[in-house]
Order: sequence, then structure tokens, then C-alpha cells
Amino acid sequence: MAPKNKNPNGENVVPEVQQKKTQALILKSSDGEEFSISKSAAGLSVAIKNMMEDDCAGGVIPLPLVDGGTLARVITYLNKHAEDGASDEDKRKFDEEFLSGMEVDVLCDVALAGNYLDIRGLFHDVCQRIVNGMKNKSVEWVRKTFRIESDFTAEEEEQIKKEYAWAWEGVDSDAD
Amino acid sequence: MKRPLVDGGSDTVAAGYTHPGNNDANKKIKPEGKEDDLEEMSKEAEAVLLDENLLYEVLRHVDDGRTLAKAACVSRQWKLTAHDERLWELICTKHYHRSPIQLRAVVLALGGFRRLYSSHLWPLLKPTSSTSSAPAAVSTWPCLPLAPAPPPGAPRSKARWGKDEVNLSLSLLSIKYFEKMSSNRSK
Repeated sequence: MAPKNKNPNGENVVPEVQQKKTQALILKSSDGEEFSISKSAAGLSVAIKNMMEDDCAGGVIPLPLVDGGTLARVITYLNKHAEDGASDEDKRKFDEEFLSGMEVDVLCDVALAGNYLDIRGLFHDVCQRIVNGMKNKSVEWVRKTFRIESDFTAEEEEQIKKEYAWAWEGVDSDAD
Repeated sequence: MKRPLVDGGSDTVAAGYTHPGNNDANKKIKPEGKEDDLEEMSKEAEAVLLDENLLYEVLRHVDDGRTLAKAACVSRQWKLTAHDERLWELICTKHYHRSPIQLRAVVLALGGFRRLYSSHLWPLLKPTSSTSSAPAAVSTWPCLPLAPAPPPGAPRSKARWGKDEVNLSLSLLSIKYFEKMSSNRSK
């Protein structure tokens, strides 16, 4: 956990940000947006926790790899999971709804952020979600969804499809 | 979160793996505070899951060989990543609480988990209603009277399988291996 009685840096905090708890810090996204978050919620990210412990932050932690939109989502997640009264069941329900509304590129951004910030539960859930989406889908679907150009030559493509011919047996062909 | 080398495995055994495209396998997905971060971020907007380590982590969550096989057909990068033996091992050994180390050593010596799955385990597992299943099963092991064939009329639902199927496949794999070895020697 975060060291509880490190210098209370209330003065340094941007004034317009609402501070619910005394122990708060600011996360700054790659595009300069600032978010206030309680230390207990931020501490669920191992990476942020380490930064807090190193006290490199002085109240503001820059996260140059996470854009504002993604960071807002991550903070929503952290806040829920740090909520005192939330039962595991609540959290599970929240996670389900939280992820079900996301498009695949948002999911991937959140996965990257979850990995970078080392939030294990979030990262795991997002990966699982991405994989579940791929089940019973065609290769074409995967390419389209993830916007990947096949760089196989025609021979390579034929070769690999032949190698995995078994994977297509009995697959429902999916339009999309 | 770095990519863990192998779940519960020892490093010495893990070293026996072939890691396609593994040169930078242990780098963090994104190094902190680099100049080119912004550039990387903008690339993500065009294509997602380009990062090899992220892709690997995502594919670690695949629990059926079919999805992994299709992932291998997406692009060269996906193929490299999806051919990682560790991913196939995860699928083959998902019924074990802990993948036995001997199993890994034996399977790797005999051709690997991907081969184990695609040529021996899959024929045991695939949906029964497919009419094309019979010839494939025969070609897998012609001498066996299709003993492991699921009962006809079984529901088409996902085949359930466990350690027995893995063990049976492993036997088939080793028989194949030694068969091949002896035929090579006799030439």
C-alpha cells in the first residue's frame, strides 16, 4: 500500500480538481489531460504504486503512454475496484458492463494501458474479452476487425491454410 | 507486466523451446518515456494488436486450438506469435493444474505441442456430426479401428476432453515418431 503519511501535497494539486479524499494524486495523460484519483484506487496499479513509493511524482504522475480517453476508462475501473462497499459480485457485474460496451480498438488500448500500468485483473479480463470475440470467426473477420493486412504471399497463404485445414471443419461460415 | 517465461515451469526446460521471433520477447510492451511513443500511439490507431508481446498475451487466453490455428493464418506476425509452443502447451494441458515437466520434455522431443494438438488431439475432439471426420481419423492412425471415435448421434456440442485424451494423443505421437525413425533407419 501507499505510504500513508508522506507529505500531504494538497497545495500542489490543481485547484479546480475536486478532492474527495485527502490522499489524492493527479494522473496526467499523454495528451495533457489531468485526472484526480485517490491513492487507494491508484495503488491498484502496480506501476503507479511503485511510482508513488519512489515519490518521483510530487502529486502529479505523467503517463506518456496512455491517452486521456483510455485513462478515463482505466480510472473508472480503478475507482470501482477501490470502492469500500463494493462486493466481489458488484465488481464482477461492473466489469462485465464496463467491457461489454467497448469496441475492439478501445479494448486494445485498454489492454495496453492495463499492461503498462500493471493492473492484472483488468488486463486479464480485456484479453479474455478480445479472445472471446475471435471465437468461431473467420480469418477474414479477424483481419478486418483488427485492421490487419495479410502480408502472406499467395503461396504462403495457401500453405498455411492447408496446414490448418482441420481448423475449418465444421466451422459455421460467418458473414461478419 | 512482463511476459512470464513459462507458467510454473523451470527455466532450464523452457530453454528447450523454439521461440519464433523471440529476440525481443522479454522487452516490456512499451518502454517508459521514449521519444517515439507518440508515433507508436498513432500507429495503433491504424491497426490494433500490432504489438507482438501484447498479441502473445492476448493469445495466451485462447483455450481452443481452432481459434489459435485461425490466428496463425492472419498474417506473418500473427503466425510467428501463434506458433509459440507455449501457447499450444497451454491448450493441451489446460486440464492439468500444473503441467507436468516431464510431459513438456517428452512432447518437445517428439515434435511439440502444436503437432500433438493438430495431428492427434484434434481428431479426438472434433465435432462428431461432420461427415468428413471419418477419413481424417483413419489417416491419423490407420491400424486402430477408430476406437476413440465418439459415439454416433452424440450431440454436436463441444467435445469434452481431459487428461486421458492428452495421454492417448501423446502415445500416438510417440508411436508415429518412432515409426518414422525406424523407417528412416531402414532406408
